[in-house]
Amino acid sequence: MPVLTWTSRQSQAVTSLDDPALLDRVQHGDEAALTYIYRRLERPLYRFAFAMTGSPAMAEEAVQETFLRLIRQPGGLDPTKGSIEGYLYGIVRNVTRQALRGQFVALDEEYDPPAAGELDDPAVSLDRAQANQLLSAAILALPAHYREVVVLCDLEEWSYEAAAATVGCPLGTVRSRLNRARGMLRDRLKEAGCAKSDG
Amino acid sequence: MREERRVTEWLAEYRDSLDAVSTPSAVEARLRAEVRRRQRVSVSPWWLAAGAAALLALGIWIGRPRAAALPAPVVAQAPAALPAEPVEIVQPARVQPVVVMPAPRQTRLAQPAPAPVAVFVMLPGSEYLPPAQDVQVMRVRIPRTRIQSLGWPVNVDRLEERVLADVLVGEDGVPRAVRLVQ
Repeated sequence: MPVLTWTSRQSQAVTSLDDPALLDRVQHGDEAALTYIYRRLERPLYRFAFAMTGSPAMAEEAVQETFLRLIRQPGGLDPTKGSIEGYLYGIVRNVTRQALRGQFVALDEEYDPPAAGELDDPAVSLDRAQANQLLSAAILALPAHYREVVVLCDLEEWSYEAAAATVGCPLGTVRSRLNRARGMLRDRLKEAGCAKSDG
Repeated sequence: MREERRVTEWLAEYRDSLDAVSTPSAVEARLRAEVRRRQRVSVSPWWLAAGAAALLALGIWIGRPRAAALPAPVVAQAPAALPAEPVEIVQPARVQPVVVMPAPRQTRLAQPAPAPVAVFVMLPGSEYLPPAQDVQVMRVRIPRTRIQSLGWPVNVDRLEERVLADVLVGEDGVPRAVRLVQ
């Protein structure tokens, strides 16, 4: 059951607007405009925050903080220089990095991959949920600057150019980080014995 | 290569699993409440400012210096002789032939229009007198019958009563004009 109603009239009024007009509406306290932007972007932003943090609570907090900043400082984005999507990804990226600062070690310590011997045991086969859990843990174990390119390019399926714009580094750096991150994931999964289970 | 392909496949599977996740609906409710709260906050100061301005204007209007609109006090002087019927002198006065302007107001508020001032009406025959250089205004009480003779409408039931009037008297002591005060 929806918590709040959003009339079709409001929806029609804002769906026809471009990004600058939407931001202008938000700046003037238009609830419908904010709701439209939120419903368009909350899922990818939440996915990004969740993949970066591995914590539903932190992801929720990050998304909320991202949109609060949009509400409080809608003038922070120059629509001629970027999209709302890129602007909000930039915010959620900063928010998650701030939230995770000092917590990477804890995440690494929490990561406890199954022993190779367990994987060799046919009774301990990896189903999809377990595989996802293992991969999630492996992604979380990556350094943040590698993790975010994996999340953006492999999970969110962004182009390298878009990822480079959001991360704020050259295209070649994104490519190299992505290759390096995939290699680290491969090593991590191989270490966990997943490669053997595939064979 | 096979391991890399396997990693790519697992990433795709993990991506699919993330499609199910979304922000709790409570976040949207909180954000919308924040927009509404900020709308109220942003509107309130304007109303407060408007209310303060209205109170200030009201205070200025109430406390405006009404005395400044009154004419300057006249200097008393010896009464001049009046011809014809004697009149009761109430307040002998001398008026300097200068225009006294009210003090400039400190506010831009619109001033109420001044009350109409009765003009002096020349007495019959005064046009044959030499022009007066130094005139005096005598405030007197004169019979209503004199007022009636000058053409002003009077209440015939109160003809015996006197009314307050200003009489313009020349330096020769001859009245030139009269105006009603009441």
